[in-house]
Amino acid sequence: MESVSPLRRGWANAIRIIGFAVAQFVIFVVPAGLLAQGEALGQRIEILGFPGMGQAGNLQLANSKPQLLKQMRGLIQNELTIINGICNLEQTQKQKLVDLAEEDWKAKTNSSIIKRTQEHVYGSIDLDSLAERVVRTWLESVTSPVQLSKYDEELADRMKWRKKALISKMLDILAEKLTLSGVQMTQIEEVLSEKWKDRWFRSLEASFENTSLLPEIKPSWIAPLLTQSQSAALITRDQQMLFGAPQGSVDSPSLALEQRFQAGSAISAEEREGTPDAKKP
Amino acid sequence: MQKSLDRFKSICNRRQLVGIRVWTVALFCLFVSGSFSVCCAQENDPDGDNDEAFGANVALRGALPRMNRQQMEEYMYGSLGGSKAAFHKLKRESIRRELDRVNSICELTDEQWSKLNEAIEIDIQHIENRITSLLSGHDGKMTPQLLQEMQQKVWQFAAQVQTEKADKNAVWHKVLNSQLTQEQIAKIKSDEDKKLANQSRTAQLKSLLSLQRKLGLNSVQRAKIEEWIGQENYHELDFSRLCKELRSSTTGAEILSPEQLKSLERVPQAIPLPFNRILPAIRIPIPLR
Repeated sequence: MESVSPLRRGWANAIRIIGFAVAQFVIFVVPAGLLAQGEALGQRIEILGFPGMGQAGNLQLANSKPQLLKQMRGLIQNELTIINGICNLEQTQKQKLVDLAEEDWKAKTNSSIIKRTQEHVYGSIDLDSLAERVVRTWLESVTSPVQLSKYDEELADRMKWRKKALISKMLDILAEKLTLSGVQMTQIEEVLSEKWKDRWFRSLEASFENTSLLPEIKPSWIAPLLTQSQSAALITRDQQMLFGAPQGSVDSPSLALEQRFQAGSAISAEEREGTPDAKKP
Repeated sequence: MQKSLDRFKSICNRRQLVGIRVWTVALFCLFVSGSFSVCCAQENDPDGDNDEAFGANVALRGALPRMNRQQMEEYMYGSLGGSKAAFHKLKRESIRRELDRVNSICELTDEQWSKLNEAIEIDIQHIENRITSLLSGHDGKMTPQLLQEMQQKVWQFAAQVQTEKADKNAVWHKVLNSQLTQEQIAKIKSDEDKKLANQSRTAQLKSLLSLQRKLGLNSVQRAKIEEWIGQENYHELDFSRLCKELRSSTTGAEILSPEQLKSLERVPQAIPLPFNRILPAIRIPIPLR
């Protein structure tokens, strides 16, 4: 057997020891550093105003997908409850509607929910109107046009309130920026009501919490009503203000994934096979 | 002889081996302590403020020209509208808008306008003098700290100038008040109230839409709740307090379904955040109105 020189054996031992040290570093020190970074991030999240979300090892960002899924289900459930109240559906129609909702809700809303999890799109994805749209599609397939028209009336009434709210907010901002008189405010309100388009209302958040998402007002619409100094201020680019924070909506309803959709006495069946989460325990 | 020589060699090798082991352990200890100190530093600085300050200093280091008085003045006015002339124009227009509003209510005479124009010039001159006095302490030497101080002063001053519109001590405001009758002042006050009423209305509608989202109200419920919010100025409350009030009110008990009342029980509390706390790194210049 070939003898190994002590010097070579010494180097081999040294390499083994260094390897051991590196392994220890990887096992103990790197996780400690990551944990410290996690804590720092956690504290940062606490500072940003997400109480209880910044615990180390339990990092949750606002608008997390599970939270949004529950919100979406809550919004759909609200619509189903309203439909149950106003559309006079028969029991079979209700059952079809809730089953359809349970089967289809995730496929119809998933992409919007994924977009909504990103904070920079805060306000530009409106889950309320998404819920209204998808529920209307389901309702259309199970009801008569007369029953559908009642739901359409309900949606039109909601839009009426949204229009009032958004125009009022736009007037507030214009009054502050241009120093409008009471008469001018009334005149501009009339112009905005006349020019109104339903797409101006992007979401509740966009209307009240982020001035960069407010609809653009063409100077030609209101310039005749303004003085020279006001017209000059109108074309001046304003500071974009974010009044709220992307911390998730406190005013959203919530329905857990385990709970079933309900319309009166009709309760949806369990999620069918083929839906994304059907195979999960 | 040979035997003793071999033995000596083996001792030497063993000592060498011990030396290598000692060095390895020492290096490992140094490595571990260094790594821990990095982690501790991160824990002690969760906001990363020091990192930002360090970054800012690195960015500024070696790139600070000696600014003369005129350049410093340009720098200051840069934050207040772009240039001295632009600042003058913007400030004049902002006061003029106030006066236009008054004119639309009270119809000012030519004589009053001329007096007010003189007062506006005095006010603007007063602000410009204050800028000059802000710069008087600097002799042109520029350090990162000094530049930061100056930036701070400019930001404070810009905010001050912006809110001066409502400053009742402004000369134009005093001149205006001296020219108006009590009746005209009352008219102006009534006009201002319209603006406040609209703000209140906006908050009321926002509260209604939030409740709409939370509870899924129908058209009848919406109309009644809108009326209820307006009666007691409930729109001034935050959303969780509003929900509590609605749950305990008779209106809530009358018009809401048991499910809706139940969903009002658990409403999380929102923490409104000012913009600068959301994005502390971004500083947007305050425009003059």
